[in-house]
Amino acid sequence: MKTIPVEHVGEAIQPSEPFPDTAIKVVCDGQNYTVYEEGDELPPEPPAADPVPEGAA
Amino acid sequence: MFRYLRFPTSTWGSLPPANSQAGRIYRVTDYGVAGAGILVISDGTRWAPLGSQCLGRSGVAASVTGTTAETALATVTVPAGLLGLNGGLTIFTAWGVLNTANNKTPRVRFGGIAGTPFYSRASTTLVSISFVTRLRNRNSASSQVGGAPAGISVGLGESGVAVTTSAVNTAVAQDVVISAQLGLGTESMSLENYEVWATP
Repeated sequence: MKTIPVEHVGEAIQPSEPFPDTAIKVVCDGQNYTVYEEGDELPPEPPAADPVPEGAA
Repeated sequence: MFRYLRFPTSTWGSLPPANSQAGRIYRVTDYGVAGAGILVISDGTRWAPLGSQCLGRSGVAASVTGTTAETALATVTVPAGLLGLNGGLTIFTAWGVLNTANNKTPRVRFGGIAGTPFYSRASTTLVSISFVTRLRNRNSASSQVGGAPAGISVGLGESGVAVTTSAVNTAVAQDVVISAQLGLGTESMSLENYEVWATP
């Protein structure tokens, strides 16, 4: 697991360095980008949303 | 016949002058997919992509939560001058979003995180989004036209809004930034996969 601080560009944020090629998942919490790599315990998925009824989108 | 076909390799900045290499193909190693690079061909005046060349791609999910700031989730650099006067980019993105009443806005910008959004569409009650974003230089290295307005709901189709334009100087390296912005910071959205292609 690697933590990459955000850098601010105007009102936007971006990683202060590129994501490594070993990433299998990346999560930004507004302060840092957490880069998960093989063997790391992955964060829980966000709560499942109700699917949109077929044809409603 | 092509079993042993290999091209000379170079970094983008170390390519020989194109005017002395007309018709020659090089594999550029410092852009594109790691280990593969991109193939470029000299037309006698400049180095151009040999057909569509993948500048970047990923199927690693990148998500944001905990902030309402626009958040870069992928950045792909376009080499200085690769697009020439008429080259273009095609960007595929796929997103996962929560089905809630709050805005979730995926974006594709050209020219960095503060660049021109060629795709920017707030969504609410969706679960997934797949989009194609196109832009092309219009016989100028510093003038682009998009394939659609930034805010329409389909990648290809009709709209009452004019296509997006920009004035990004592609004679210098420029970034394609794929970003996400939440209307409610406690929610989340994720860039599920993307591809960025340069076309001649």
